Amino acid sequence: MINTIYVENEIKDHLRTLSILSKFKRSRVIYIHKYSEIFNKKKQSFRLQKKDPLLILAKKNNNFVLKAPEGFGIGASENYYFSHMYNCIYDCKYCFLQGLYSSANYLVFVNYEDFLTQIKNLVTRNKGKSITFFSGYDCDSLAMEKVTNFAVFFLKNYLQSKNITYEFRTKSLQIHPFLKNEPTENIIIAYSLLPEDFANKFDVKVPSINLRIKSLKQLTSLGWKIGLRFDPLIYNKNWKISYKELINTILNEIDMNYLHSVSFGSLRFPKQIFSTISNMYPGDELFSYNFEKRDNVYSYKDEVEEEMISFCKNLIHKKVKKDVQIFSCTPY
Amino acid sequence: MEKLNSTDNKYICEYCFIVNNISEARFFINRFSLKPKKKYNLFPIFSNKKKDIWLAINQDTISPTVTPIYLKNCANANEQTTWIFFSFSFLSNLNLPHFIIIDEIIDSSAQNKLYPSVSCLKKFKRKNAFSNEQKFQNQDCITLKNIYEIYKTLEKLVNKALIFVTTLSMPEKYELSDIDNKTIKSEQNKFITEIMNLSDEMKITIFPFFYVFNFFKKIKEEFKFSVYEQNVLENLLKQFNPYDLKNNLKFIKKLKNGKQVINHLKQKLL
Repeated sequence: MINTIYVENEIKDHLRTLSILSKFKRSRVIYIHKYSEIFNKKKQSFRLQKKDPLLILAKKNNNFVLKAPEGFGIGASENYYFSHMYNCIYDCKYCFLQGLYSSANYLVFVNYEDFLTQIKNLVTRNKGKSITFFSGYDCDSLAMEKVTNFAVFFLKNYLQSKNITYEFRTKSLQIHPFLKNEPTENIIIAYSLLPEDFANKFDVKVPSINLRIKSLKQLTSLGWKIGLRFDPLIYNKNWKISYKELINTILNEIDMNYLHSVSFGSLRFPKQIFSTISNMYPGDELFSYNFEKRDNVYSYKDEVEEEMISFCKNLIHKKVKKDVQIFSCTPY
Repeated sequence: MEKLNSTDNKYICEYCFIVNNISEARFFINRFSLKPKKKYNLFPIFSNKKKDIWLAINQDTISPTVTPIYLKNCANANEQTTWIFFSFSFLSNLNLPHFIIIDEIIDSSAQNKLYPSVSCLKKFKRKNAFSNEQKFQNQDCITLKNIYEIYKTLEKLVNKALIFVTTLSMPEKYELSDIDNKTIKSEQNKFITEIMNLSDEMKITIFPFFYVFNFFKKIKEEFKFSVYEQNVLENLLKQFNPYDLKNNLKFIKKLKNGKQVINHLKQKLL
């Protein structure tokens, strides 16, 4: 239950604002000038806010769509991401948002139309090039769907073109907008996945792996393209057994004809974010394995990363037809 | 006057209170046995014997922005200190005193606003407050003198979540003295204690490393450990979730010696 909602004055009469507020009739509403008066201010505590997050409704004024970091992509020549929301209802221990923001409150931008306008502008500017637009970088794409209805809006209004792919990255079971719409080649619903024993420890407040696989199955059964994102790959002494079990389970369950792509990325953090997050979890096993600092990024040793990625890739290759796209994802 | 920052560091300032006048201070002075610290002469400053609880009373002759800075220096407060501003206020639509947490502070002269943190405060009644008297008094408005200036200064100095702006709102038709003193005291006692306990819980979440460190210090003082055992203890504690440690503290205190403490912690980690 969200107890307090801050609303920017400028969008207080916006239909989407009113619709969201109508879902929280008992919440205290406070009108503010700019979301920056509340969100990500200095001397706030991310971990504390995570215990009792509040909601901020705001208007985004610029940077609707941003270039994805180097190494983040699934085959297109241009990669962009957009976030209609900052922060997430889940509490994954490895989530970089904990180190990125000092605030865990949910910030939702209600001017969805402006995101699509910018996407259209970018498509025009990059005419003829293949482009992927990723949703779910600063938030989970679907986890707050019941409140935001962003996917519902997007599916009604997005720009269709054979060169463009949209990826909704998620761990959520809120797939109803897709179940109610006809599948399309341009949209991929990509699930972040961890072996069950890892997910139980590190994917806090997230739907179980079995439920996520069930959603994947449901989506493919209707013809939606899906992506499997083994990102982050997490190391422990039993990692091979755990990942083998996970990959085999998924590949046995889903219809491979609708598997768009698979990507792997081992656990990694920019230096500053690593120090912030590891301080939040003193003694946690996630950070107790030796990390190596390379180019201001903390990650497993090269040989560990390579072994994990190639082991998992081989498992996929054994089961999946050869033309499925497999990527290593190593941003920062 | 003694140089403010040179006070001894053997104590940890846990709580700082700021009030506007002596009648607001009285509850805190009695409840925590606070004594005036005469060596600090800019404001009336009080503290208890352990020096972990401090209080300052605002003065009309000095800008309220000075109060938090001065008290912070006198008390040697750090980022883990809880700050509670308390004031009485009046509302027309009440029959009984109500304890209220302020989540929006309005400086009506400049129409500026500040938003104190509301993390983990959902169980308290909340309202906005004006920092100065309104020309056209809205009967549903709380006025807390000086609060805008005090909060604006405080939020730059300390963790925002550990600043609590509180008021005990009285029915407007009554004077303070008309209301049963017992009722006021019991309301203050109940809610201020609740806020203090809540802030202690919050500190474990905000500063988990410090909690483990302080826990180590506490245990080391209570039991005898060899140098080797101290190292073992330190390494063991690092592996604990601070909340698990907190839950174990009572049991640990009942143990007889350092060895038993180490064995108990080892077992808990299995």
